[in-house]
Amino acid sequence: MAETESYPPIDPTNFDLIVVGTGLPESIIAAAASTAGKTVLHLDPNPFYGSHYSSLTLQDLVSFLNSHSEIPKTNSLQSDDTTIVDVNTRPLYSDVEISSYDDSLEEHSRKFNLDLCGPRVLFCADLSVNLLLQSTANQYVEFKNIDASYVGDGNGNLMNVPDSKSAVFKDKTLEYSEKNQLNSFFKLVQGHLEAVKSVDVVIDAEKIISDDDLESPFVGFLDKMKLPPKIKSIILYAIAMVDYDQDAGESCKDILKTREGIDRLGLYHSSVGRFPNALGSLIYPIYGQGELPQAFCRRAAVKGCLYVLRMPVISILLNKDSGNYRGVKLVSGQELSSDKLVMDPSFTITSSKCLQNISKLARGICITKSSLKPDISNCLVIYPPRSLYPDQATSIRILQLGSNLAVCPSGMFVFYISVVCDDALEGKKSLHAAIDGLFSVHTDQTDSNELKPTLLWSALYIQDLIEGSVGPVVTTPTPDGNLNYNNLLDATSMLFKKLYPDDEFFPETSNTDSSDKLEDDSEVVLDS
Amino acid sequence: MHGRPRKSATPVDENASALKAAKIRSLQTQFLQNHHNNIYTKEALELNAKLLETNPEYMTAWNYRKLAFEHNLISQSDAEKADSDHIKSIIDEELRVVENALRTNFKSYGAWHHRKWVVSKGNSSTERELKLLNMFQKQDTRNFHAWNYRRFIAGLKNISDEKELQYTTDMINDNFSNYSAWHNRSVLLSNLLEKKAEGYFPKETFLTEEYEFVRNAVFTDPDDQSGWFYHLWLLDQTVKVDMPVMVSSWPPCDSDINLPVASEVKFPVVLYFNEPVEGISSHTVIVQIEDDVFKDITWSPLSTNKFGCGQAWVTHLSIPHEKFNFSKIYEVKIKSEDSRGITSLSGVPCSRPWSFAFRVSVKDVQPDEGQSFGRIMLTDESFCTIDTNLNKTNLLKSYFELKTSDDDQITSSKWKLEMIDNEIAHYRELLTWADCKIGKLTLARLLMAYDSMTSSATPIAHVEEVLQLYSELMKLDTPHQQYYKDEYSLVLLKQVTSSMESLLKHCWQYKSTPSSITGSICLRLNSLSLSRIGSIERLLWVQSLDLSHNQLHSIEGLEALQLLSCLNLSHNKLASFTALDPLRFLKSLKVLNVSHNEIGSHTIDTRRYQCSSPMSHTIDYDPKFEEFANGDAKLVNFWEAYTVFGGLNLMQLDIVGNVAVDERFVSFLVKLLHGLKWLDGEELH
Amino acid sequence: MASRRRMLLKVIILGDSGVGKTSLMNQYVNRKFSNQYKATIGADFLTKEVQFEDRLFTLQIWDTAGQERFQSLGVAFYRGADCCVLVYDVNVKKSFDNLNNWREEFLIQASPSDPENFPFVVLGNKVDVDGGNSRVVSEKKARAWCASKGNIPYFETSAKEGFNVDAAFECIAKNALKNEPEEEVYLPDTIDVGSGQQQRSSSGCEC
Repeated sequence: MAETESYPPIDPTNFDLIVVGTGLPESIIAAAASTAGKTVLHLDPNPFYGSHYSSLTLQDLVSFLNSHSEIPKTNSLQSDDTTIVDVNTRPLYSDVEISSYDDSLEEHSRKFNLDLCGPRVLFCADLSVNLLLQSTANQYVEFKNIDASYVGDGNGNLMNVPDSKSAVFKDKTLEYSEKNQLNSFFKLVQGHLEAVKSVDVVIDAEKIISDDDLESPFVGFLDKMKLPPKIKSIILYAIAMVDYDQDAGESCKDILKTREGIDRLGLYHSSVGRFPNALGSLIYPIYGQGELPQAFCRRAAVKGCLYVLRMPVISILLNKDSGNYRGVKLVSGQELSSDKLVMDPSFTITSSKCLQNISKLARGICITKSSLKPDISNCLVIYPPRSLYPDQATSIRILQLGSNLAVCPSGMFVFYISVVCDDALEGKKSLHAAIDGLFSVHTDQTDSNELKPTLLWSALYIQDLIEGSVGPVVTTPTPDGNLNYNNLLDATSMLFKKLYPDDEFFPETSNTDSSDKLEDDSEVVLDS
Repeated sequence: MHGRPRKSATPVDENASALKAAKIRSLQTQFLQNHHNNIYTKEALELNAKLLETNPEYMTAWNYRKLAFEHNLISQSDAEKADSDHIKSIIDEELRVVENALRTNFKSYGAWHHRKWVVSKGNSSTERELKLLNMFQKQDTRNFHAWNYRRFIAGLKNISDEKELQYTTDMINDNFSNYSAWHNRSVLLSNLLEKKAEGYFPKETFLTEEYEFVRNAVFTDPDDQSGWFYHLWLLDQTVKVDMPVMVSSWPPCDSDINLPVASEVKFPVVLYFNEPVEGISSHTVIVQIEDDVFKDITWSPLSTNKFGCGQAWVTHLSIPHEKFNFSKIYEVKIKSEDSRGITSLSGVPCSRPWSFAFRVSVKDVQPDEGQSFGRIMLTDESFCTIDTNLNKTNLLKSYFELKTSDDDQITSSKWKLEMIDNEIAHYRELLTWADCKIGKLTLARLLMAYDSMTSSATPIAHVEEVLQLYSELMKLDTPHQQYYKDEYSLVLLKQVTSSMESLLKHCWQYKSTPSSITGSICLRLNSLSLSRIGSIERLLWVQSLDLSHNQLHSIEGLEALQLLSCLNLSHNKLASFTALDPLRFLKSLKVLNVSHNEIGSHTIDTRRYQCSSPMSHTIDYDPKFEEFANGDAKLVNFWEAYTVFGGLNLMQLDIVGNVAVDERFVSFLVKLLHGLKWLDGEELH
Repeated sequence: MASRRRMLLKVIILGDSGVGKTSLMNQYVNRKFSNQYKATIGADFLTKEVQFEDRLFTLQIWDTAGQERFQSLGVAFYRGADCCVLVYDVNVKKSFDNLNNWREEFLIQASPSDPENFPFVVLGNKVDVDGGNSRVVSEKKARAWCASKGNIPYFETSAKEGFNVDAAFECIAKNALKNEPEEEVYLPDTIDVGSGQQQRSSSGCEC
């Protein structure tokens, strides 16, 4: 329970929009609304920004997970007044397992910036980067490369993902014919995407993939292109980042359509080489993903949004006559009014509304003192379905980050693992399989495990996946199981549209602020 | 820039550019004033810098800076001279100006040149130059200025070739479509090879790895040209013989030739090499008859250019009447003396001495001069199958005798064959799953390379496959059809001349008594769809040649056939007189048929730009022509014809069926060719 | 450009709402002053090129954007600061009392490797108000506090009059330079997504 600070009362008391929770979707909405000229009040019960999207110290992460996995006592302030509805917190996490094999880690707690919603990276050409640029929040964040991507198998091997023309060229494990097939497929996709964009339809029409094909399952299209299983697997799971086993036929929960598959490949490829310093397609913000909500919040603040941390909202106020939303009551007792309200999904207002069949996600955070591959600091590892053990129904994705990203002390590495699952049991099984595959848990091991990093600490937990919704109040989505933020951002911009259909979502304006762009000393940038 | 359509300027644009022009003009005026008055102050230099930033192409402005630099250096105070920082700051300033100019146009010749000039003065940091280059490479990996400059810096700062090689490896790993990086690689490897650097010499040490490296590129993306060009270079490196070698001659080694008696017994000696060479002279080649060394021999190259080099060289030996002895057989020996004087065009000397000998005897038969010269027809009726016992056929054998190669050649052939064999296997595989044109072309080249190096009994094992590939390419890649046709022709001729048996199939004997003009055998290569000629080394003996009903657009190579006296080129695609240029060298030519070609079909003879014309470098303008033209201005059009035919002593000529041939031209020809007896089937009197 | 090395120095300004942080920034960089108190809106960060000895560097001064009002500055704001400026209003006692809190908050959030020697600079602003008559914090008291915290440089300023502002920032810049970069130098290979985007594809034309 957050402390109530002895704040002066908030002034003004009426706003266009009140946002509760400083997760990424909420922060973006606050920034967009402020940019559109709305008066916004942004609150968060925590003493830090980011909520479920934040990056925390070791100790703070543990307490957050624990406190958000307990079912809180129901608010005893039950009132008969129908104009006041209590706000309750619903736990988003469950089955939290913290294991520490090295006590000395505690003293370094402050040097860690651990993501709650990891593994998470940005593609250079994805929506989050575009949004950062559009909102000019990019000035507040700096990034570094993810050095490599690997595909893992059940034998402890990690093979480079040949995800671009040059990676295919350099790959020593592919046969020549496989190189040709993979690269030809890349070119086919690229040709299609360019043709779709191009104005000169007549010339490029033959490059466009037929609608029939586009609507068909991607895995079928790959078969049609006569791609061998190994290449198919790379494309589906290591580049298009699919979760479910696409060869499972009817029982596959989520068959990816060709159209979507092509778009994902397109995203991957247009990310390569987008920025001069970015070597691959993936980048990660220094100091952790929690920098992103802070960047958008600052953007909102610059545009006039008012920020109050450590301020829980205890009740929603409704209009006596219409029953519509009219305002909030804070823990300090102060009542504020606004036209609209946005809340993060850990807050509920109707205790009776029980969400059925919530999808779940298993996450893990591990800390070691060595890297998976020598000379590699940051990398991604994908275990396609059934690669680690026969019943493995979904892809497991792991992100390794080194201290050059300021997420851990020098010499250490942080790993994020995530896997979509039906229930906690299945999820935990996958997490453990990945951990056993990558790390050695105990210090005294046989020689064969010398190459594996030794696990110093781990946190495993299950997170509920809740989508955004529009109702009496607008609720934002929880972090999802994808590697990038694209789906979340799509959902967020849709929510904004529902809130303010007449306003543009971060219109492109010339920068009237006197703020200048940062210039990096190490590279001399020429004007285009 | 090429390929960009012009867009008409909007009024706003025009206004802006007018203002810009005015600004530049005023800067320019001020600058020129400074320049003419040798003013090199700080302000003047800043003005100049501003001008260069807007217009980096202004060479005068760059040169001004060079003058200023020198001037300021000389007029330094002693204290300044001692202070190395002062010089450094002047240099830094120059470099800064160049960088600014390059920002405007990073392909500015003037800017790059100035940079080179400044950096050559010393006192500049290698790191910084490389950093600048890396930046430009990121912008445009094919910026050839940057690559040139890189080579310059590497040379100046003694950056090792190995290090630079690693740089190209990195660039290629990053993106193998970088043609310039592959090209630089070939330059560096050539350097290392020349220096005999460890790990790079002999060439087989790096070739295997390079083949593998480029294979990854072309197999990953067969449509990307960069790798294919490099592969071609590798193949060339694999196949090429490192020095010029004499491959054939007339008369051939160990042969017996019988010459008709005449006032002077004169015969040509032709040396034929594997590549154009220079330096053949009486110093480098010794000719001996019996034991007398012939002095005053002049060798001349048989080549349509004026560079003094050629693949074939000729001299004419004569035995004066007094020395005749009908019963005697004269042994003639030709050998290289100081063979190092004979070099290839790139300066590689012919380090292995060579020699050959043949025997000459004189026939005691009166020449058939004065006889009426009947029209010679090279049609089917004139011939019958050849009698393989003819003397002449024995002569042919000499061209097919295997020369003993030394051990060096054998071992080098071995690794070369292995390497090419390996490549052939890979590229055959590629073509099974990627039907690409350049892949087929490469395979064809590989197969030919393989065949050219086998000295075995089946030197043309792959010929059929190659011919098939070129036929496919002609259909697949019509823009380059002519090239494929030419290659096809060359391969076909290789097949024809690959063995005695196959050559004899195309040799026919004259039914009527052989005259000194026709000889006894005619080589008939008609109707083979040939577009050009090759395999000359095995055809030096030919006296009668029928190339009619082909598709020849060029007869390059024929100039080496010094014995040629009857030549049928009718029904081909010769499109100009300049295409007939090689005939100039065929002094023995008596019977020529160029009817039904396309001479004169284009008003502009584009071959002019490749070979002889009044404006070109290949032949001197002959003042006698003016005499001949005798003021008739229209005859100027026949200049080329004059050059080609003027030196020939034709007795029979067929030229009908060409656009350029009209009455006027015919009378010109008659006037020019005094000895002409037959013209287009009509007897002349 | 490449002949002169450039350096970026991050300076953050802390202090209670209304003490004049944004005005001080504006006065220094733009030589402007506005009486209207909506200064927090739109103020993000300002940059100014400063020459010191023979080096050129860019001073990047970050405004709080109003997030200080409810002590809601995010940890990202504090990161990588080379110097921290603490501002109070000489006419408002509470703003001076809070300096201690701001200093401690900074040290916690920014976690500099050498907290004892991290460069702070204190500015007592609004000395012009009412001719100095409504002053409640004496210069002596302020200097004493500064001295007790490791001899923090102190300046009395008026953003409105432009009094002592340049001198203060010169000192700030000097102090920011003193701060040697942290051992783990993150900056060199970072990717700034705002700078120069799509690689220019080769024109292929060699002219």
